Amino acid sequence: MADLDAVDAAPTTGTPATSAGSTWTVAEQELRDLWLSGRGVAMLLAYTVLLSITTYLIATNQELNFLEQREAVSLTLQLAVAVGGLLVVLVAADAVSGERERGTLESLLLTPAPRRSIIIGKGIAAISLWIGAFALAVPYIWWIGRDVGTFGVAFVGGLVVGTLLALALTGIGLLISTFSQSNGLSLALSFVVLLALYVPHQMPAEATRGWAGELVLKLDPFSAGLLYLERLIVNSHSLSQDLGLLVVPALCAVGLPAVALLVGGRLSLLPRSGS
Amino acid sequence: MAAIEGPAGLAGSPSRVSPLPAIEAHALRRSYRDHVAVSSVDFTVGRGTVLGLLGPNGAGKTTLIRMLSTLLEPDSGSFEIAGLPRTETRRIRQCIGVLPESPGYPRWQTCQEWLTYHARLYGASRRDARATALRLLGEVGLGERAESLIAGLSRGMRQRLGIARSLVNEPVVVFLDEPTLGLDPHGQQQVLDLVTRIAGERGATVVLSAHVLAEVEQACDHVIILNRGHIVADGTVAGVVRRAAAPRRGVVRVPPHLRTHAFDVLAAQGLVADRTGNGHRDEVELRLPGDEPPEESTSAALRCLLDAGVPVLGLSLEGGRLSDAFLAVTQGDGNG
Amino acid sequence: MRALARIGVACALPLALLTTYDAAAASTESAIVAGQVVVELDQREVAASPGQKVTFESTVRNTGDRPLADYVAHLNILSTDKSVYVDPEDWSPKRTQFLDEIRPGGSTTLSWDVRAVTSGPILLFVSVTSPTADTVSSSGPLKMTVGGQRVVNAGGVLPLVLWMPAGVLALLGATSVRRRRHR
Repeated sequence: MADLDAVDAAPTTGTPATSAGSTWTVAEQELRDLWLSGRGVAMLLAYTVLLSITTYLIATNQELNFLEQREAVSLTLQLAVAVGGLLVVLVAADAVSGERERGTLESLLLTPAPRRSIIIGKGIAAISLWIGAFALAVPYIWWIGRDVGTFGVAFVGGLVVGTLLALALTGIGLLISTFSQSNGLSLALSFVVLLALYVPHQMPAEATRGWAGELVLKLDPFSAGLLYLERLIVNSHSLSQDLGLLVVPALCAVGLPAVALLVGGRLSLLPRSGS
Repeated sequence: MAAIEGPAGLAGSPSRVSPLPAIEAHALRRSYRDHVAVSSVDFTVGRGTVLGLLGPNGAGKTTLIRMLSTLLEPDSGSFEIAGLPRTETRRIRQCIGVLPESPGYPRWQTCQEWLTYHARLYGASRRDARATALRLLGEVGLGERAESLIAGLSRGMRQRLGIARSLVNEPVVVFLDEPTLGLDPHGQQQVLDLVTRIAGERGATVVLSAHVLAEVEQACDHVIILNRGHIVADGTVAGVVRRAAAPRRGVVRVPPHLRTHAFDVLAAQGLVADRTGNGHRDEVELRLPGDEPPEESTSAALRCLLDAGVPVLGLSLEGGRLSDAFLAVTQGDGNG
Repeated sequence: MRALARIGVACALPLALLTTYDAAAASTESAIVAGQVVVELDQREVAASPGQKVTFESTVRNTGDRPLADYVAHLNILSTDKSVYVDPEDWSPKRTQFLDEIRPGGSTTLSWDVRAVTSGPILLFVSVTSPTADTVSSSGPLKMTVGGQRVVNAGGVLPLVLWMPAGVLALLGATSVRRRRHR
């Protein structure tokens, strides 16, 4: 029987949940929801098919066979980072606004789990998609680059750059999700932000000349990260040679999730008001 | 301020009985932009009470529940749950259970998984949480569906699952917002039985928000009626009905050839509800004032008829229900 | 009549001489311009592997007696093997440079960066022209031999590209079976 004394208001089921305990409980459940339900696996299936098609064409199509082997490794790695980033940002963008729309957020907010623990747990689930995407890309990268000794640097470089970008994109997705009025808006906005980050890398060399173009390339974490990978793999630079290019991705990898956490402390049932 | 006392004692309750009320609200207020949802609400709920929270749509019931369950921040005012002030949000959440008005459920989790998850969020170990989940599922009649996906449950089953979830932390106060919404009569009865058991067996204080007033009459010790964010009635069901002075009506059956004479006799006493006599050929509708006990007004009507030589073939009474009180206190504001 | 013809010849001759002088002056001008600019590269041959960056310099000399202003230099890249595809943009994004004024007898040096994209015999040379683009002076060729291109070995690609998606599909099937079991 529950005791109503104010000092002993704790329930009889265990001690009150700690922040760390809540974080891992939420993370574990989110990971189970993502992977055991098949949602994460389905996303990676489409990604794996894309990787297979690209690899097959690189290997066998005469018109496409002009790619030098290191360029092929670089291309595959960039594909993994780009698509992995897309999956991460979509899951992060659905994290809060999706639960709000499905009506499951209320039950979660009624528990004593700290709001930040909920945000961190969901962020961990989003990041896991990048880990899955990278793990699936490794056999392809190994196979393509097996004769030129690029696998080691490609693995390390890809893991570092991809993880930094995935963290940054998780922060972006969670931020947008916390404030969006609807899940559709959250997903659309996150996708647009990702495209905006990816576009500078695709600009022709002429457009990036001059102070404005160079500034955009350096300030855009995506472009900076992919440029680092290109120089690492295609131009055979060492891992430490272009570390300056990783400054902005690293800052975003730390700063954006931190802002999402700060804002997540005000996570509420309604998107714009505090609880 | 409405003060609602709990039962004098509970069988099997611990020897240490806290004097603290389960819920205490002082001048609670909450508005959305320019619409005031809850305006300066004051009330106290004793331990072990089953409180019915009534009101027309938009009266502020859900807003009030959300404030008390710490989901919404009041604009002003204060409240205490089991002696915990509103600033102790985590501790309050630790000791309350809530079934929201329109809860969503994750489709691809099993009942047992979902309840275990929530039990763990309240601090239970994995093993204890699983045991609690299975026990609660048995209590709400879903024991056999523990391993079923929530997507495969009927609406009534989901409501019961939601009630089970509101009990994972052995709460001292349980808020049930429209628990019978969308259920068939059988499902409604099952839920009401559960509510009664929650209060009786667990000694928890239950706040039940409902539209079906018959449910509140059946399950609740006390009621609060909200209208446009204000408390317009509070107390026991009988007390609210009486204070609302809701008029009652009755129908007396007399021989058809004496109907007109019966009309005249009752009309002379001011007891006829409808002089046009649009009822059946042998019926006369009575109007019974609500501020008198119904048995007195009925006896007076019957005495008049018998004294006038009109035999009474039958008598039925209507009104004097909570629904009448509800309409009486809420109508006139354009609501209900 | 003969007098008129003599007068005509007498008049025409200076005119012809003048025209000849103008044409000669123009061609001489061109000759002066063309001969005034000499472009030389610091290398004649270089070997590279695909992806490798090569840097070389070109020196533009003003051998005339008038300054050269607003001249422009351009890098040309081509392959002498018609089976080798060369897109100059891929090899060097910056292939045009505007020269500062070169005084008579002076010179200026330009640096060029080229990245070898594909293997094969590649020819590079630098052309210089005036603002009016009357003539073009070119350097001698820089012969770049790009060899050792490793294209992806296609052997064994099918098992990889088939088994990977198949493995993920099997995982997806397993989650679906799990869902059905709990229904």
